Amino acid sequence: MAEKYLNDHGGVLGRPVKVVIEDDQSKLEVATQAAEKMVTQDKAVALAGFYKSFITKGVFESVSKKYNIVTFTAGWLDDLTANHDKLMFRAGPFIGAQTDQWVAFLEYVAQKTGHNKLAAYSENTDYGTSFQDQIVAALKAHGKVQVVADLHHDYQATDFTTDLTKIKQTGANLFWSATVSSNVMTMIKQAYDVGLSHQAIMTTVADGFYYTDEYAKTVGNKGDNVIITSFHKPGIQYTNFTSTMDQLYKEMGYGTNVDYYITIQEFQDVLLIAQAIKTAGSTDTNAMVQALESMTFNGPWGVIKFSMEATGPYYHQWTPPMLFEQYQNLNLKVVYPESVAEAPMILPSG
Amino acid sequence: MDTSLLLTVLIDGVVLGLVYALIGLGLSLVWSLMGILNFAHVNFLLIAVYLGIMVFSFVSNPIIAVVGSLVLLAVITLVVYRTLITPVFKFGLDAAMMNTFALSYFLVITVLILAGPYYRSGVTLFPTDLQLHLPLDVTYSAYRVFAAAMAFLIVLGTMLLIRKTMFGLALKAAMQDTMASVLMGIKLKRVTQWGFLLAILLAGIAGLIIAPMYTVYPGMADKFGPISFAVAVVGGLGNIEGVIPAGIIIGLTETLGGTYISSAYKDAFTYILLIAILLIRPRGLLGRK
Repeated sequence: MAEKYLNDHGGVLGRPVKVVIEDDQSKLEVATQAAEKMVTQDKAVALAGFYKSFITKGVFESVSKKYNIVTFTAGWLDDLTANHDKLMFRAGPFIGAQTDQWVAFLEYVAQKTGHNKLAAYSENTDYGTSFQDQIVAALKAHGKVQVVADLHHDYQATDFTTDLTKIKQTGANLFWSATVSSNVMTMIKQAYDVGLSHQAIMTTVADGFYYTDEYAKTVGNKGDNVIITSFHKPGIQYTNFTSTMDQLYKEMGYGTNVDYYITIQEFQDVLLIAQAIKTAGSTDTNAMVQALESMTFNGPWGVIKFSMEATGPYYHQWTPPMLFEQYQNLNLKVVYPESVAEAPMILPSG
Repeated sequence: MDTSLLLTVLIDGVVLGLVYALIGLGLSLVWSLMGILNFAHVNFLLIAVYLGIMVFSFVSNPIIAVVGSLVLLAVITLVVYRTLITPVFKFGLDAAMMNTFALSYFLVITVLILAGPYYRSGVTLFPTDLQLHLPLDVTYSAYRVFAAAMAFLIVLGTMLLIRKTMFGLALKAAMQDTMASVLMGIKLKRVTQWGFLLAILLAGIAGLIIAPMYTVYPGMADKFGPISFAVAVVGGLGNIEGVIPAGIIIGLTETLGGTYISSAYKDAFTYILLIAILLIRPRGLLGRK
């Protein structure tokens, strides 16, 4: 898609663009060999992709640094940009940003609806525990949301009734969960059974059932009004460029609208690299890095300007908006950010 | 102490306990009848749940789906018993027990292949969205109370069946003393087969009762395997009268421990209790010497 788009618009610096594609098979040795081949034989001027963070790390150390190649990662690990390597860029989600966006959303809900007593309840895995610790710590530090319950459950738990009752008794009117194990739907059903979802706005990071009827079939109307997140919903127009991308996607026979965030990210990464070459006037790596650090790019996900924060993972980082979607009559509707909201948030009946 | 929370926790402990008792009953029955722990016991529970969903997809009638599920489960059980269980028995109890271990995986994989890894909702005979508003501002799911009542009645009915019918008396005799029952003219093979079928049907009924409380997927029975062992052991292996108190003690241990000590490790309390019972009273609460 990116190759066609760029060549339809005259290529880069008057030359046609070729995007070389290899499959890393989620294996570091395969990825390293492919990256080496792309740089040495195909004369690639930049690398992009690497969904697995450990693969980005490995390729970056053994290929990007060796050949001084600009690299865009799709990995989520904070370290990838937190190490402040001048060659590494990320224009996509990462773990730390998820926390920041959740905190911003929960504080928005508290301010907008008055639902400001939060119960946090997640699986006791490293993911659930660390995610919840970060959320709770940030909310406590800001003081806009009161944390009334901070509980965990066994990641294999199948029955949440007593915990959810305990949470209900705290008077929580906002519920957040980083449970992604198989029984999150049971949790949602049981939250309804104990009356928690009648008093609290229910939010969960759980995925795996977006845009499928599996959720509706399994949870039924007990799952209504639950809020989940994603980094893309097909059909959402973030900028004017989103429709251009969707049109291209359709023309190339992939479907009606881009359906997964990684497609946007990879399409956008190639366009960013092309823009950097245009701005730099050459494929010289140092000039490209300078261009990327200074330029602004109007992409399908938003206006991209890489952050140059001196510390932390936001260096050479741009983060797309996380969408907060609520099941309304078992159809997902974006309720936040307001700029792309499809419907107002529905509050609990109780 | 929050009395409202305590009341909910106690109700939930008893509800879960009665459901656990029903699941553990069949396991205890097979232990006393055949001398083996049936590792595949709860996987038959899973089969019944999926059969119910399958039949319901054809007839759209929950009663027919439940009855159809149990009929199909009975047929499958008899086929499995004759082709996979009894032929291995001649190699000894250890081989038979390991055979049920292999069978448990076989059943789960069969479900996975035929139904896929997807989440579903179980067939229900009772509305699942009704709530009971109890004193002390307690809201509790009416379905869970229904499930507990059904579990209690079925456990009680099974005990009456064993005490008051000829089949039950033959079963009881075989459970208590195999040799003596044979000498008394009881057809042991037949009684064992029907006893095994009864145990599996109890597991199937338990599955159909609990499915609407949870989410149906191929791994849904995993938790109930260890729980059913705990119920059978705490109640006294082979002592079916022990399953109700054992189930309730385990249910209450889980809910009270999970609420007042640690929600993250509430399952651990059940196994601490199990270890304690095995150390202090290895024959279980009501087990025979």
